[in-house]
Amino acid sequence: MDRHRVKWKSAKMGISLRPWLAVVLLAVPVALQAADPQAVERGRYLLDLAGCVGCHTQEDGERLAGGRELETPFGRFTSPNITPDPDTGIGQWNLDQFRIALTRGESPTGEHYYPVFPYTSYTGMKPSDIADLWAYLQSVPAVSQSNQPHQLSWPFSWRFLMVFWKWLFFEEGPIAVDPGQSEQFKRGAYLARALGHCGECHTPRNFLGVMDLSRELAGTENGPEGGVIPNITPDPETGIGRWSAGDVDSLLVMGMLPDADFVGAGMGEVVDNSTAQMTESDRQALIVFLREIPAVYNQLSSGSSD
Amino acid sequence: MDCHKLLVSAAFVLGMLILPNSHASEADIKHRIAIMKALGGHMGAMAVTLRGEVDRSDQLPIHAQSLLSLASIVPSLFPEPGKQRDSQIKTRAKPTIWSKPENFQQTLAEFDQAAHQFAQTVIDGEGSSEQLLAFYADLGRACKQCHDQFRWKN
Repeated sequence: MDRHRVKWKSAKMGISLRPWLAVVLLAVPVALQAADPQAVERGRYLLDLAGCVGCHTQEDGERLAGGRELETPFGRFTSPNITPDPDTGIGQWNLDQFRIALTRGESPTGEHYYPVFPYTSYTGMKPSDIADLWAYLQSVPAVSQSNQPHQLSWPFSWRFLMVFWKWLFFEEGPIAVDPGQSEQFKRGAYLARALGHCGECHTPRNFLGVMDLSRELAGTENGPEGGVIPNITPDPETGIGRWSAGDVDSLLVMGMLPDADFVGAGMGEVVDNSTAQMTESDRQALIVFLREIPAVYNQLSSGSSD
Repeated sequence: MDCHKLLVSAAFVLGMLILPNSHASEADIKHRIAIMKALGGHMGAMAVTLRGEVDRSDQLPIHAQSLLSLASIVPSLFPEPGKQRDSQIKTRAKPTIWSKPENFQQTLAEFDQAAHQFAQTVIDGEGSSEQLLAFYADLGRACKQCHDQFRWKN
């Protein structure tokens, strides 16, 4: 909508009509506002890469309407509705609020998000990608579905503590990549570290939930839903160092492991929703990144291949 | 209902009728696991061949034919479980295989269709390498789909 035109019209109508106009504008569904179709299309792809659908969609539930429960060592989190519903979703947000949520972990009301929402990775997203993702989210059907509270153990149930957590451990801004690396590696790093947030599951954390970046992607025995998350660094003994590029490709495309078994559970969803949707060039960039990051020896209690 | 779904449904029902008392013994479970590993073996061998990591493309039809043969008996491998969860042999087959047989049959039919599409193209020697890889990926996704729905993670 042309903002200058709205201003001109409101001036002509006189000041008494302005409150009504404001009400009308607020009532217009955001989805009806003009959106660049190409931005929406790019945003749809970014939504896949960022893995939004998996966490924000309940099994057999409405797409992106939240309600998905995630068991963690800190308690049970329930994902929120991110459809443009004005009452229960993000229909009253604007792009700037969305950007702040993704990159600073802060809601429009100033609430600090728990890092189960991976803003610790999304903080590295490019502003243009955030804008495209926003455009797409405005285009999806609004679903009225109220958000459910998290069920967390003390002291994690005290959300205000997140202020201190973020002050101590959260670094806002673009991801760090060695400038001497190839463009393909840099793209892979962006996919893995920011959009795809691979480290949120694959990087071990300490008891305060802080990722140990000195062991990036080295796997953990305390992953989401209590499972063992494999080491995906190129360590030949405990990681994927013996996998060929083709092996990694097969995993990303169809979830197939080198022994022709298939990944399941959370990674199965990641394959379906994200990696299988990647363009060939993005997939190859991710493969290059995964094969060139430092190898970390990390023997896990069971399984290192899925 | 298309031809594949009809055939798979018939094979599934026939399997239920033929197997004694329709209850899985430990031997049945052992047999099923062996067949699945055999399928995986052919899938793995074809993956490295299709990716060009080994120069054995002349052997692809052997694997494709084996895949088809094994795929045809898969629907008969799931007799009623009885007390198999208590057996000494670990099985990851989910109860939904038997509690929602129509869903299982549907998924098997999709697998069967993907297996035929890929294997027949290999046997006929007609597909380009890109086409074969695409069909193979479809087959892999069909396998994963069944595992996702009907197999425990551990």
